[in-house]
Amino acid sequence: MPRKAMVILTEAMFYVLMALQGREMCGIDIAEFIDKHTNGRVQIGPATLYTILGKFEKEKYIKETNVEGRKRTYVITEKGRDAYNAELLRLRQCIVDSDNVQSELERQV
Amino acid sequence: MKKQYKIGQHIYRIPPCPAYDISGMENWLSDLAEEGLVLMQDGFFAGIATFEYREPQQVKYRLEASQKKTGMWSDDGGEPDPEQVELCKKYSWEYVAKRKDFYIYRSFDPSARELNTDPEVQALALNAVKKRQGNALFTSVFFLLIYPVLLTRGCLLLTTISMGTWWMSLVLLLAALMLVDGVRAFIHLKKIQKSLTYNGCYNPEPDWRKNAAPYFIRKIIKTVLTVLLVFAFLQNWGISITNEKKIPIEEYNGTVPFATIQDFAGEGNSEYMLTKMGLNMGINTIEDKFDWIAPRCTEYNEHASVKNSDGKIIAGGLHIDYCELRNPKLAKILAKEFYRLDKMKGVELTDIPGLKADYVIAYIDNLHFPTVVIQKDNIVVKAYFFQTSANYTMPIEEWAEIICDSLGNSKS
Repeated sequence: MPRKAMVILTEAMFYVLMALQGREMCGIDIAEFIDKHTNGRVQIGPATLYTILGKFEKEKYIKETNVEGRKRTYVITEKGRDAYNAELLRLRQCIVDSDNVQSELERQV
Repeated sequence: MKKQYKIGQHIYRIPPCPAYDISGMENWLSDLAEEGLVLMQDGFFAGIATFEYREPQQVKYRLEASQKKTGMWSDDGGEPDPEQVELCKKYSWEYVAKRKDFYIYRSFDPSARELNTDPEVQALALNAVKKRQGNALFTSVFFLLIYPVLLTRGCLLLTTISMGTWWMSLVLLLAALMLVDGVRAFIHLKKIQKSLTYNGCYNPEPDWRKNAAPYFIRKIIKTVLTVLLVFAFLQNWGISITNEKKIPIEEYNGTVPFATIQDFAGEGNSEYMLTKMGLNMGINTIEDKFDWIAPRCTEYNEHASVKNSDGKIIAGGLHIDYCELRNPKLAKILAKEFYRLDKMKGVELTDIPGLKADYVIAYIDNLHFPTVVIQKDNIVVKAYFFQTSANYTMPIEEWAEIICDSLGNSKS
């Protein structure tokens, strides 16, 4: 079953919101942040990044704070933070579930 | 044998697939690059791509769905976000051109990071294009189907006869092709989106040549039809302005298939004269048209006076639209359309009993002209006669009966 767009964040979407947790950033900063913090495991393509920024702005997950020449800076909103936290909770729950199953399997052995 | 080009030479090509065929476009551009044809900066104009001949090389092309309108009059000229272009450059991608709703990027580095790394996001990006395609389709349906029906007030047969059956068929064919293309685009985009969302990739057709021939055929047909219709429209417009096809009644050598003012005087001697002239205004003229659906149509406009044997002067303007159709069924439809068109402007019905016809309706139209629509077998006549004689006004029942009786008995 495909996921309903924007209800569950994709990995790329999750990392974009993660990048904006700390400070305002432009697209180039976000790409660098993701490269750095995932050691290149998550590679976000420019088209993907700017589509996400466009959609997030439309959904009011982020808002534009400054335009300086070519550079547009974004900040995360409360709604965006909530979406990020909800996804984080979901991922943590996945790990907890996985750990529980693993423990059960080990006990059986 | 392959054509030989010089380095730097400009070569023009028509794309073999529509802009929304993402994989077709990407593969076509990459294949041409392997032959040495590299798309030039802003190399798309009016549906033609311009290439520069260089050393054959491997080039990756990628199409990105634009999130905004890309028309010449849209914001930023419809160009992509400059910051995005800069980031693309960092990852070895160069923005080259736009074609309709898509930006075209290329990379000469085979190991360059992909532009789209998240298929679900790519599917989301196509939403904007699909929405614009849907709007364009809705606009096409409105302007190609609904608007003409509203404009002609639903009188399609009347419009077909005045335009000509063949021209009408060509218009319908063009409209159908445009609508089919719009639907195809919408379905194609939906398929790509579905594939990206469900399978994580779209299944590109590796060989763009497969669909090239049908695409070119459709494109050629649409172009030829458009040119023909524009030419026909201009020609008809010119003819209608100059009244080129109208012939003065006195010079007309053909057979008038209905009664005219002279016939209203009845049997015996009568003094007849045309009272007004003016070819430019179409006064005292006759125009014959021949069409497939209506083998004969005559528009007759007479301003005359006639004195009958009793000394009564019948004078005024008689306008007749006469049509012989392929069959009585079509004739009845046309008669009803004639009436419907006037009814929308406002009419006052009059009763004419005893006319020997299949369909008769008489009324005073919105300009206060007594009007009658008669259908007899495959013939339809719409006639109005306004009278200017101070001496006598002929009742509508009388002149309508004379016209009705004359139908089917041609005179010179």
